[in-house]
Parts: sequence; structure tokens; C-alpha cells
Amino acid sequence: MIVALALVTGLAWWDERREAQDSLRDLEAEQTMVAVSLAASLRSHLTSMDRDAVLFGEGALDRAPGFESAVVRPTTARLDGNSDPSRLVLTVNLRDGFLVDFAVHARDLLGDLPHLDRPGERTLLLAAPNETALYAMDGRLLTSPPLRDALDRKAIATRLERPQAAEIGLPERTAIAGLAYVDAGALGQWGVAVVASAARERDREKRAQGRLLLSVLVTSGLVLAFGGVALRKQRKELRLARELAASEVARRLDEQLAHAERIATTGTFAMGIAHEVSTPLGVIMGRTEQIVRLQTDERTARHTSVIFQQIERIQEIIRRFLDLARGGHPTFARQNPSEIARAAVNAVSHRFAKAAVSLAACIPPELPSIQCDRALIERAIVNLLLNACEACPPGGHVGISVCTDEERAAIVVTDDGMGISIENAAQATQPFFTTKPVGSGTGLGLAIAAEIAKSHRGELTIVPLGSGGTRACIEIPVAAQEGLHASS
Amino acid sequence: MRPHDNPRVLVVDDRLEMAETLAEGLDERGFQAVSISSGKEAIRMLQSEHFDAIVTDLRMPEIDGLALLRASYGLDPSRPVILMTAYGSVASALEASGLGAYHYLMKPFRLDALVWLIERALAGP
Repeated sequence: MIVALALVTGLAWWDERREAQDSLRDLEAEQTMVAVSLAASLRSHLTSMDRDAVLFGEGALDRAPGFESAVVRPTTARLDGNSDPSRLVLTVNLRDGFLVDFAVHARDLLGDLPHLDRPGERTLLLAAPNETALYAMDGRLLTSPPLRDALDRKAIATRLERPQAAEIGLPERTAIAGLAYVDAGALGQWGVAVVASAARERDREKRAQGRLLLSVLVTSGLVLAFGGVALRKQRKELRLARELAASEVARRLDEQLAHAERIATTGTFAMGIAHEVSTPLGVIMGRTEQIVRLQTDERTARHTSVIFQQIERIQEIIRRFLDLARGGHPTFARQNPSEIARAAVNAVSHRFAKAAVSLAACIPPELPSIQCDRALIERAIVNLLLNACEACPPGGHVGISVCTDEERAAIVVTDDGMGISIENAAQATQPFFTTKPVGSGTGLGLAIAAEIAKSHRGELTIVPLGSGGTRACIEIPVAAQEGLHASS
Repeated sequence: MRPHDNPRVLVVDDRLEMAETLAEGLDERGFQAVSISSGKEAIRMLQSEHFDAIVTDLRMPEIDGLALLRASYGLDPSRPVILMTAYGSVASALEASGLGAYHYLMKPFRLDALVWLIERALAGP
């Protein structure tokens, strides 16, 4: 930014300098034009004075107008001398060996134009033939070597440095001189110098530079101010972004820790459950075997066969759940979600009948297959259905629907039961969380369903319904498990 | 053929219904089974009575299956001890095998499997 500001300032400075130089050139041209005008006037006056001097010398004794004094002398006689150095003494040849000398003020040689001489601003100077000094309009006799040199060179303009300007009574600033020349014949070669001080231009340049400096300072200040504000804003945003990222990392860490804690808790509980369930199952199995030994008829054999099947089923569920609780992976295979949902509905239909809660299933006969662990998904759906059933009073209604699209399969269970608050809905999938009366619920059904959904890279969401009931939805990706433990 | 007629088997489980179910099943298969629900009581019985084999649950309050195993080994190192365990205690069961248990069974199991194990244990190596 500093480099950019320096560059802009440098360019503006250079442009200003160029304008100042242009201004000096304009001033130079103006002085030259004035000098040319004065030269024309000088020529006219010298011509007329030459004529008047001849007339005077040849007979008229009256002083010609504009002459300070006039003396007629033989060409051999010496001039008495110029008693007033501010006057120019001109000599005109007459007939018969006589000369006429006349003295004249410099200002009278320029007719009406000497008013162009302005003290401190512009000085008009006459360079008489064969004289080094220059005649000013106020009668001073000035010496200026640079002007004299320029006149000798027949230059049309020149510049005077500060001390040289001061020598001729101008401010100590650069001065510009316009030069013009007059060939007055017998009266010799004359020069006119119009010297103007560039103080005004210099002052203007200084003011312009001041304005430039001010504008640069103001602009720089504004740029710095806006830059500072923008920088602070950017730093603030960066700090905010860093804080957000840090909080996101902390949140994820907390979630991971919470999840690990849940897994550990669920694992401990699952092992306890497995131990507690295994013994009654052993009793059932042993007693059923006794029945098989004592009653060998076909009906008994059919009933006991169903009991053995169900025992094996419970064993399988326990084994799978323990695997899951220990962080084991489900066994994926391509399954029809409609069949899984119907199996879950059949598994809980007797519970609904006993609770006098209706169960409406909206399950399309055929849906695209999904990659999942059938037993686990069925268990998760059963848990949702039982949870909904237990939330309903007799006469309540529960609905289940299944749908899939290209990306996800969704199993939605709704009920018109006691409902759930938003706060409780957020905690509903935590292990051991329950809103049911003590002894009525384990607080594990939804937790297990949520873990099963997670193991399928899906999620379980519990939300209150506006009508007072609850909506539970398991969503799992259709193909996310491709390549993961998929069994053929 | 069994090495002993009507071998005596002590069945120990803190769930008495489990112990009784197994004992009754073993009785019907020609064993003399005694069911008991306390490990402490089981050790007392071992000190006063003869048993050819022990079937015990692994996880019990106070005296668990491993303590009973050690006690039985101290009294009669040749007596086979079969441990019963739930699915979640396989590691402990394997540890028990290292301590001299004859075998372990994971609950629930078929009675026939238990009978086969006891018979094989009593038949010797």
C-alpha cells in the first residue's frame, strides 16, 4: 500500500511540475509579446525624435516636445557630459559639421506603454546602443550580465535565477525575460527587455503542491483508515472463523466422547442383559426338551419346534446386539426393505392387539433393495413400533410407512400418543432415557435403534407432531454400505 | 458305557430354576443330580459329600464359578468341572479353562450337549 501511495504521489508531483513548466513557458511567451510591442513603440518614437532633432538643429530653436534638453555643437566639439545618468543622450548628425545632442528619459521612448511596468512584478528595460547598463522606467540604471548576454546573443527570451532577479528589483524568485530588438538606423541598435517575476506562478505552484500534498495526505488517511477498518474486520472474521473451527472440533470431540461413552454404557448393559436373559432362556430350553422327551405326539413336537426356533432367534438377536455394543460391524446384504418392515409389523402385532392400539402399515409390496443387516434393521423397526405402542392409550393409532429414493431409505413410525417435548426428543436416543413411568420402559429401545441406524451410516430422528403425537424416522443410505462388510 | 452307575452331579446356579431344570433333565438321563443356588453352600457340600462332576454357573454372587472351580480342584483335582456362561463372559470362561475347567457351555444350550460333555469327562482322557 505504501508503494502504491508513493507511486501515485510521484505521478501527481511530476504532473504538477510539468504544469508549472508549462506555466513558465506561457509567462515567457507573454513577456516576449510585450517586448515586441514595446519595440514597435520604441522604433516609432526614435524615428520621430530623429526627425524632430534634425528640425531642431537646422533652424528651430524651440525645444522639441519630449526632449529634456538639446545641445547643438560642432562635430569636433566635445560633449559637455550627461549630468543626469537616468537620461539617455542621443546624438543626431546635422548638415555642415554640426551635431545635435538631446537627452531623453527612457520611459518617454515607449510612448503610452510604460504603465506596463509594475514594481515588484514586471520591469521594463531599455538597452541603448553601445551601453552595458540597462535603463529602467523609473530612471534607474541597472546592470544585469545575464540579460546583457542574452541581448547580445539576440535571444528572444531568457530566465533569471533568484539573485539575478533581485539585482533588477524583482522579488527573489525565478524571473522570465522577453526580449525584442529595434534597428533605429543612425540612432543605432536598441533592445527592449520585459522581465516578469515568476513569483505568482511559483506561489501558484506551491499552492498546487500544497493541495496535492493535502489531497495525498487526506487520501492516504482515508485509505489507511478504511484499510485499517477492513484489516480489523478481516482479522475479526479470521478470529471468528478460527473460534468456530475450534468449537466445531471441540463439538465433534464431545460427540465422539459421548458416543464412545454411550457405546461403553450400552456394551456394559448389553452384557448384563445377555447374562440375565441367557439363564431364563436356558430354563425354557431345558424344560422344552423335557416336554419333548415326555410328549412325543406330533402337536407337541410342532409347538416345541416353534419354541426352539424362537429361542434361537433370541440368541441371534443377543449375539448381534452384543457385537454392535462392542463396536462390531453389522453384516450387510442386499435386502428388500418392505419385507423387513412387514416382518417387524408381524413380530409386534400381538403386542398392539393386547394394548388395543391400531397399527396401520403403508408398505409398498416392492421397493428397491438396500444394503443392510436385516436382523438389526428389523430390531430397530420393532423398537420404534413398540415405543409408539407404549406411548398410546387404548384406542390409539400408530402408523408405519417405508419409502426409498435413489439415495436413502426411510422408515417412518408415527403415533397419536402422549407426545414428546422438543427437549425430550433431543435426548430420546440416549441410553436409559425414558419418559415412561418407572418400571414401564428400559430406556434402551430408541437408543438401540439409533445405534443400529448409525451402524448403517444413517440416523434416527425423533420429533414431536403438531397433533400431539410423535414421529420417529430411521433414514439409511441405500448404497453407502457398498463394499463394507457386504455379504454375498 | 459310563464308568460309574448313576454318577452324582452337582448343579450350581444362582438361578435355582436353572439348576433345577438341569438337575431334573440329568436325573431323567440316569444321573443323580443335586441342584443348589449358592456357591458357598456348594463348597460345603463338596467337603461332606461325593460328587463325580460339577456343573456350575460362572457368574454368581459371593462365590462365583471360578472360586468353586478352585475349591473343587483343591479337594479332588480329577473331578471334572463344567462351567456355564452367558454370551458376554466367554473371556472369563476361557480363563476358567486355563484354571482346569473341563469345558464351558454357553447359555442357553441343549441338555443333550451337557449330557454328552459329562459322559465324555467321566470316561476320562
